[in-house]
Amino acid sequence: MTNLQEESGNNIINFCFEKDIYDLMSYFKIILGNNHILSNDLSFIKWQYFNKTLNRYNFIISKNKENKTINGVIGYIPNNFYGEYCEKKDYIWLSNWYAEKNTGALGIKLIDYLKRHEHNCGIGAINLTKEAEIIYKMLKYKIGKLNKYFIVNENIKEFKLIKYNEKNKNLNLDEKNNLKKYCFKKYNGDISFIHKKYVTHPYYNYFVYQIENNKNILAYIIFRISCYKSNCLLRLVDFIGDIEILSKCYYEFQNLLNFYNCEAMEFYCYGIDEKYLFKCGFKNAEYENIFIPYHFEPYSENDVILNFAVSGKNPKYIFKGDGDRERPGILKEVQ
Amino acid sequence: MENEIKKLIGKIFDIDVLNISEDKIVPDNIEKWDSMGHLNLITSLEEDFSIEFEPEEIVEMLNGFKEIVKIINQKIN
Repeated sequence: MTNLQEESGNNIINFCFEKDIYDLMSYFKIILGNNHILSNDLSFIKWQYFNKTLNRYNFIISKNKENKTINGVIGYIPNNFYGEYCEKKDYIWLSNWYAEKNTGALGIKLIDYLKRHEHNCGIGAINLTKEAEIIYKMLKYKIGKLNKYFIVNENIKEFKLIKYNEKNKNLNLDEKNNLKKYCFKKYNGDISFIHKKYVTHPYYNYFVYQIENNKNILAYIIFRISCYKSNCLLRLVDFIGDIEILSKCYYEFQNLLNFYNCEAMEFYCYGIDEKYLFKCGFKNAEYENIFIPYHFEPYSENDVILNFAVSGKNPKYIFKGDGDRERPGILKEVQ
Repeated sequence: MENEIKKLIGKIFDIDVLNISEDKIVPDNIEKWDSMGHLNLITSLEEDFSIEFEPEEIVEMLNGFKEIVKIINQKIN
């Protein structure tokens, strides 16, 4: 086996192997708290990060050379971890990037180690701290933010979850275009990316629909539902297929909102020409100044901007499902 | 040029860099030389020498003073 261990100043950097995982969980306890899922749930960590082929976890860790304690970590999720997915299969999404003070710019060294040792066509991260954003900018990553779009349920008169009123009601809906109905069918396929990433998710219950036209599958949508006091939000987290198809699905989306009894559909994305989204009734939450809750575990009324950094062969589209944004946080309160 | 770089390192990391041997002017020996500090140094070097570093050079410069001098020399000569 190739020796992957590298000495860097007072630190030893390497991948996280089976022998390291409990030390890493203890480290997460210190930085993320006792109740965090990464501090407690080994089966979840294995599901999200364990590379069976290479028998190691998708974490790069650093240890102090003298006392061998962990002093830095960077996690990553390669898209191909979930199986073949041609659009962005060699792309790597970063997560959980921490470095102790007085470790000689360890943060930058960790990301450099990953870049050199893990095959990739690009590296990205979603939801950046201020410090991380500065580092990514300096390393010439492209910085942006996911736009937040929404469609409200036409049949709901009083919105309790989202701050929405009648003056926001005008749609740019292309009625004629949306009458060319596609058929939404519950997914029953065997695409490994969808199966491993969403269908078998250990915490969240995802719904996957395939969009069909004359029995030809044109696209897939993946969503989950978050509720607070019986008021629910349908959260579209991923889309696979021709984006233009989205512009003709308004009435099918209304059917889903009614079927799942949701106030609205939320869709965080980047790279989609807004005209396709406006045509099917989506509105930009920022333009409309509409509050849509983000945190349900526990529920809070803080709005969240999901910024991102990408390098290399930039993905054309970015969705909330990319990276680790769909990871539950606090163990006890996951719905 | 070397003195100018040393002065800059001393100013940014708040140390008396003239009394440290050049081999020891590396991030691991200097408390404030963390990732953010490194980026402050890079920005100052870019401004002072009117140059721009590539991401790979920014990482290589974590090897300390001597590497910084080598990279800047390559860029300005």
